[in-house]
Amino acid sequence: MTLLAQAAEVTAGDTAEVTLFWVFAVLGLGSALAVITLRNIVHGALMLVLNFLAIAGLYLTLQSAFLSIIQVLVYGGAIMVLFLFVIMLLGVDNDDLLQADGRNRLLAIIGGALLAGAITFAFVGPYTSAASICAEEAPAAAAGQYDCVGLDYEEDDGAGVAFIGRSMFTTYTYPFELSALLLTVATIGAVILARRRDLTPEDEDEVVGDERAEPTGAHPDDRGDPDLVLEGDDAGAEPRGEG
Amino acid sequence: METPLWVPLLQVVVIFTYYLLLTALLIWAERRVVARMQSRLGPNRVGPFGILQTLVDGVKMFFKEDVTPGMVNKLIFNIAPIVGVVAGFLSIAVIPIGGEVTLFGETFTLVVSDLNVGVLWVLAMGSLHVYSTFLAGWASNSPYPLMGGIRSSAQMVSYEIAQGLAVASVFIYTGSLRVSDIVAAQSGSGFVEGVPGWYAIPLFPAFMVFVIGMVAEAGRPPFDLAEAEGELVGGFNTEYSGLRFGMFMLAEFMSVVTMSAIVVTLFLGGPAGPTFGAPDAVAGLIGVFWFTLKTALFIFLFILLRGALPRYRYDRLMNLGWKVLIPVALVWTLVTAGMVLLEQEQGGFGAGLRLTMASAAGVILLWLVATSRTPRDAGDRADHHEVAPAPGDPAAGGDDDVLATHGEDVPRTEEVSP
Amino acid sequence: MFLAQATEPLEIPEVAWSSFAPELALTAAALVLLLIAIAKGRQQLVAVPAAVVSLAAGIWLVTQQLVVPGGVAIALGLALPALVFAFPRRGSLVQAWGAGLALVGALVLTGWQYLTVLEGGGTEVATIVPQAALAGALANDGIAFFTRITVYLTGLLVVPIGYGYLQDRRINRAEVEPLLLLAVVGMAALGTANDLITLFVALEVLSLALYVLAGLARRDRRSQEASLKYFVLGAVASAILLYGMALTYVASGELALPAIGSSLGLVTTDRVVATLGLALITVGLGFKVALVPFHLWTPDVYQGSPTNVTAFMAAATKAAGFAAILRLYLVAFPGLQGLWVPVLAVLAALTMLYGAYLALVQRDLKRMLAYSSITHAGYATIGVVAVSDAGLSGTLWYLLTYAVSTLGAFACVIAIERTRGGEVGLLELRGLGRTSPAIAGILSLCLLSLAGLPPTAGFVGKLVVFQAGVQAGLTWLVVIGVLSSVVAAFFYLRIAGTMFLEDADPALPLPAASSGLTVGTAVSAALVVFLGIQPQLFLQVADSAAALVR
Repeated sequence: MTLLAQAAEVTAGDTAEVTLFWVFAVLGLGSALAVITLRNIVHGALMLVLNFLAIAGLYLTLQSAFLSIIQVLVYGGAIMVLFLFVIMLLGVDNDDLLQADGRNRLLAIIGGALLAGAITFAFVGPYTSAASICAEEAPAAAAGQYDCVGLDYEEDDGAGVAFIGRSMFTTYTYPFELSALLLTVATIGAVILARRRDLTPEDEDEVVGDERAEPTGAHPDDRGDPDLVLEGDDAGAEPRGEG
Repeated sequence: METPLWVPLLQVVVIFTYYLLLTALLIWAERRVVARMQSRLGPNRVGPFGILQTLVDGVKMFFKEDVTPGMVNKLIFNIAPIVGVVAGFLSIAVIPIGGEVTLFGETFTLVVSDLNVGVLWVLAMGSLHVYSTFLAGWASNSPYPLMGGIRSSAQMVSYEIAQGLAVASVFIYTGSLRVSDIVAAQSGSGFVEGVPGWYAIPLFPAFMVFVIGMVAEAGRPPFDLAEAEGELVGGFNTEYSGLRFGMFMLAEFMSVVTMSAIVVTLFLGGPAGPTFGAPDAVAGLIGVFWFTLKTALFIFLFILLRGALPRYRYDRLMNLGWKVLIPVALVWTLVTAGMVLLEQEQGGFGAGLRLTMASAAGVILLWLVATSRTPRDAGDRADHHEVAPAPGDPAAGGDDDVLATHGEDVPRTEEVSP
Repeated sequence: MFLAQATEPLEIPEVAWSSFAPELALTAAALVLLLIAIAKGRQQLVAVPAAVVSLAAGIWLVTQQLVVPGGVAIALGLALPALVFAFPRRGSLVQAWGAGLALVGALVLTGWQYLTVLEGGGTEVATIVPQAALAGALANDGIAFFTRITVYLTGLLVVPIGYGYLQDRRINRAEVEPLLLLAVVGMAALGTANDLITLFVALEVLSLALYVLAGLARRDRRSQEASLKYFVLGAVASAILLYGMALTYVASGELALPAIGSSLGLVTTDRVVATLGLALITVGLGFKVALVPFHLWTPDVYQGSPTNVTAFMAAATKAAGFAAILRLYLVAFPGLQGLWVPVLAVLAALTMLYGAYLALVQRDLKRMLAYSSITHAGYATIGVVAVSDAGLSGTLWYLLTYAVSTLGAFACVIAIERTRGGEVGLLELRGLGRTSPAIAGILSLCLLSLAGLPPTAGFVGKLVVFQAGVQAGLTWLVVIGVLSSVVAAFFYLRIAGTMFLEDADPALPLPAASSGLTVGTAVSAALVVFLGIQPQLFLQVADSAAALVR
């Protein structure tokens, strides 16, 4: 906990921010722990919402109001609602929850502890000591053994909106456009998975008429699903021996 | 310059009192107006014209026995109404209800906080408001409330997209997310001298989308599918009573006021209006008058909608949201961006051309809405293909759309059109 | 001024369209095909406007002295309505032809790109001059070129191979080809990605498309299982990868790979955080290319997915994943070489041994090929840990040879599977060499190539990679590789033996190939032989491809 305090003192200047940081940090960590320990799946999801809100608060202490609001709007307001929507729609009972057996649980705890320890180790020295130029009292140029990393963030009135927009449409145009493809793929995938009836066959006379037609497909599991076909024809599929 | 502590305190107190008063008046007005529309009198006993009826009802709610059913998830059952009220209160914090006011040598605006991402704040709080109805439905541990909760979540998430896109065109047009900037940008006159430069005119399609979306977001008739007393008893609030039910009511009516205030701020210039040459100290208060007038107009619209329209069917609601509003808002966002780009690059169009284009776009939108096959035709086709189960074949459909009520997809009693 | 613009107008950056022209063409093709699939019965309504736009763009490009891209645009624009007109009521055929032609166009554009970045004007010592484009988001260098070739070629072969198969299983859904094309675009983008964000987004594009493709046979429980397993584990791996990237960013303060490389080379940079990031990135990417011990998803996913999708996954995903690994480790993490080289070497050794060992005990042909693909990931890693130009070009070359070999093998599996139901076990292959020698012969050829026996492509591939390993002083690793190859050769040859030396079960139906399958198989087999006999041509290109954007 002293680590957190140190980090707080280093990153935040005045007491209000430090207090806020403490509140949100404890809230975030506590809710994150609750997510993985609570037995009730809806409670867990709600704790995740709380976690997102706490992280939004942390963004706020970093003077990134835009990011903070977007975090609430997108994660808290849309994604988690859909999460809960699915949980409630499926009516997941607590009995259905995955019971991790002892060995897996032990492995997970060890793995998590190792990662947490490594990250603590990696951050506690460099970024909280006087040698880091993140520390305000350290002479930045001379003793700066560790870089204090961050975007070249321009302080602007728009809470970072202009900055984000600028980099999105100049430096990162290509990944931005690629992410449009990502969304397209995701949409197509969702339609494929969710659609009860697929794009109906064009050769309607062949397939639609008989709902229970036995397809000649070799895979028994595929039978009884003629809707899945785009068309009934088969170009060169007449079985002909190769030799 | 250090602001004394009493200024923000005063701002908070004034604004919240204002909204609470407006909400109380709304409840009364709704009962009176709807009563008129149904040839009744409405509440007329307590106070002049029954205006104190809301207060009395509130007291009654407060002292009524508050039943907590046995099977509910108590924690969430109790939290849900509070979430709604809190989110409702928070969302109005960024809306200025008047211009600048000078009091005891301090000049301040009648707003709690003029955040630099103000409009997004409103949207974010609106999206948190979903949790109220949603969790209430789930925590009640009862089928109808669950249906109501699930309906409301899907509805809110869907209409949020359309609303967000509509607001995006306002952002693009203004170049700022700050509410005061948006209000200021509308303060001058528009492309025609004498006509106010309210965004409802140049961004008419976005305005329409927003207005339709706000009815759905507030969960008001004809989009009150989450309550739908004809199908779901009381929807998400079936198991609630007493104070907690009162909180749900308060949250719902507050969201009506909030949504009206937002649409006035974003599209109708907020507190802007003629000041009749009043001195600056008073001009801000005249702004409050104009703001209240415009907001009341929209509140009246909400009431009229409730009195006049039957409830939508759920699949049609979804069709309207996804197949009409979102595409329109999306296209309009692009058009707005193109207009702004033209303005920057080439100085834009002349005033007449702009006006023509804007009205042409509005007409096209109306035409699209009027003639589009969705939602009615698409919904009807869905009946034949998906919803209506073939006799003796339960697997053919029927359970397809969990959100539509089983077997009564056509609410016969409410489909009657004049 | 009517607008209250708070910010000054943005300088719109120059877009180097040519740097991602193949992906652009494929994306356009995928979207148009998707629209055509949706517009059933009214396809000309989509095809004609799309063709007009494409023709106009092509003519404009030609007038701008860009003859090759213009030509491709014109050709695709002409082909589209012609296809729709020629096969009015056969949507899948339009889709398959459209996708195939688009991939051919992409290959042509890749070749054109290659010529424009070549230096030395067609002489033998021509080298690729690496070019960064789009504010450094994208790099056109050897890795990009080779990944594009491999991935586009794989896509081009998978389309005809899968056409008949999808129809047999009645899963020839309209979205297959667009998804395939988009996956290919994601893979090519992964091969060109030169900053962390692009890399991650490209990886997600291809992964998402593959999750869906794996679950294409919705009524088949194994397909569902494959899709779900791939999705859940893939999502976890992506998250780990992203965490690693975030830590790398914390350590270096940069997102562009060359900048990370130079930043991590400095003494002042925080090594501990960078190491953590590197470790997490290794886990994430190791999952994507199935290195032991992150391979657990592979057998189930490869077995459950529709076979043509499996072929595509095995051949193309590996190429794209290794492109990302090569670029990340060689460009961004050379400063931490002392750390990742031993780790990756150990992973490679584990992968080669474990994959070969488990492949040995498999009875199902698809499952066996899955373990074989794990083994091959190990071989390809040798070229990465060699950290040399030879290793780089060796890995690229190896991936190409592996792609054509494994495609051929899976194509033969499809041919057998079509008439024999879901699973192709070892027992069912008995005597195939006598009843249908063509399929058995091609399958044996591809398996020999996978085993790395001359005169096949696989032999040259292994040779190049092992050579690079020895040169880099990793003799122990190469010895393990050879050992693993011997084990692997045993099970590959056992299949060949089963086919040719044992008696056939007359009750089993004969395998059958559709015309598309025949073409795809034949081309794969021809490539296996051609690359084995005449490797010089491509090896030269691979050697010249070793230059990177740093």
